[in-house]
Amino acid sequence: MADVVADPSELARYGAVLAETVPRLDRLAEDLVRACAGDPDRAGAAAELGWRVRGLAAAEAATGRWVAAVGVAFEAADRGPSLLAIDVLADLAAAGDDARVTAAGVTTLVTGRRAEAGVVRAVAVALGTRGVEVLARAHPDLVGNVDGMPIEARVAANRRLVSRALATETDPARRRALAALLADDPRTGRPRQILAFDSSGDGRVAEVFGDLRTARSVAVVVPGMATDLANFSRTVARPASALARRAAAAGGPGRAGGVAVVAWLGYDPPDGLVADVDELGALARDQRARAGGRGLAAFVAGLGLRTDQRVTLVGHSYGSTTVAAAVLAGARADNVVVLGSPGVLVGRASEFHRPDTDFFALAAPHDVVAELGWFGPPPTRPGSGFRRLATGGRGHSAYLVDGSTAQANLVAVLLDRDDLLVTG
Amino acid sequence: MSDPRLPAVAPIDPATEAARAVATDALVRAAAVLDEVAEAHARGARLVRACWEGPHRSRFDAERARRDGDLAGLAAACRLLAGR
Repeated sequence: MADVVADPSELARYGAVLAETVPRLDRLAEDLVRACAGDPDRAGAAAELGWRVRGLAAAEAATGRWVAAVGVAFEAADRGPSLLAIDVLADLAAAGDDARVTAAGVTTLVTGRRAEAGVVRAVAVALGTRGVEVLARAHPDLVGNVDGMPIEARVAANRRLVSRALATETDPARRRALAALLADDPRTGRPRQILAFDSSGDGRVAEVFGDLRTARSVAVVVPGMATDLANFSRTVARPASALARRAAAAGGPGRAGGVAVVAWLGYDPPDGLVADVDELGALARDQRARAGGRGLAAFVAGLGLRTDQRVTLVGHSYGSTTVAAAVLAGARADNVVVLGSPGVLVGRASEFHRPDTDFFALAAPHDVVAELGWFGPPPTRPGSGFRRLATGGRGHSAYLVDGSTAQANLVAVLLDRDDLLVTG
Repeated sequence: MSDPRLPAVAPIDPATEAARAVATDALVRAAAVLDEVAEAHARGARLVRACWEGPHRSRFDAERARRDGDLAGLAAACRLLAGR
């Protein structure tokens, strides 16, 4: 007989209740031992009681994590093998067996990487903060680059991964890029918030600007051709940071409720489209966009955003095709904005079958890529179902320029301010 | 005049007496906190049981019963020790 959970959120609430009482029980044990230390007749027995209360607190914490993880697994509609894995992980974490937690976590997450982010979230809940830290110390790649892992744990694990990569990197440009990822963000004075990192091949990086937890509006900016680890900070992160800053300034406290912008190079865009056509043939031209789209959909799902947080996917150039592929793959998106798009894999926005999603397209004058129609007719043409917005600049690089009309339009979309949109 | 056959009663050391009072208070308070925690957990467990059925729920019931026993046992031990 399989489990039936009518309201998975009730299980999460129960986990939270138990988690809240753990520090209370720990404090109780500490106070009890201290208060009885001066009583020679009862100090020993009180110390024994304190030890038992602490043990009970740890056991209750483990039960809470387990129950909450079952709830998350049911929210992710996974009622199969992940429940067994959750049981095992929660048991090991409760026993404080770091080595076995690590081994079991590896086994589970290797499977989990191919599973939904919701299953990974359930595993992370089952492990608890300490269990995830243990896992990240031994295998940072199984925390830093796994959609569904807690954001803070991903950021910490990715700093380890970047440090490791820097220690062995020989290419000067990539060394500079890696060192920059480890440096503090000059605008915030805090470490850069790297959500994903992989140095293999041309490299993959995702970085967030703003607070994903508190943001009412979250944008994910996807770059196009010839973007790689070496130029990520300049070509993707910097414009994303500027967009986040402008949106925060335009929204003001209490108006927008916070904006977070993610610069996402979580896929391998072609180095150059002509070379790609030569090598792979016409059919393969959208292959990386489609693979990237699946990855982007999983990434967004893995952020664990609340339903009241608006999601905007922004794709530039080949990245717009990747965004389109993500939408076709089921990515969550309240808005889709394509910039200088060579095509979005469909003829009309209605073919995405997303009636609740707003679609916007920008094409600057003299942007030849936006006129090519490699991956479908230009989304800026009349009748495409995309609202055409003004750019205020020229050429294929006009869109994410700080202070531009195109950027102001992006800000208006992020803030859900139709009245600020400039159509073109 | 006192009976010389009875053992002499040692005078009560005020510092020891104060330490005993502090310990007694702490033990009584601890028992009350454990009762509150047990009630909170039982309340949450009732809500969970209302929406969950199956083999994992059975495991949950078994764990909850054991924990409820542990919490009640610890509270009772605190009260017993406070009474000594």
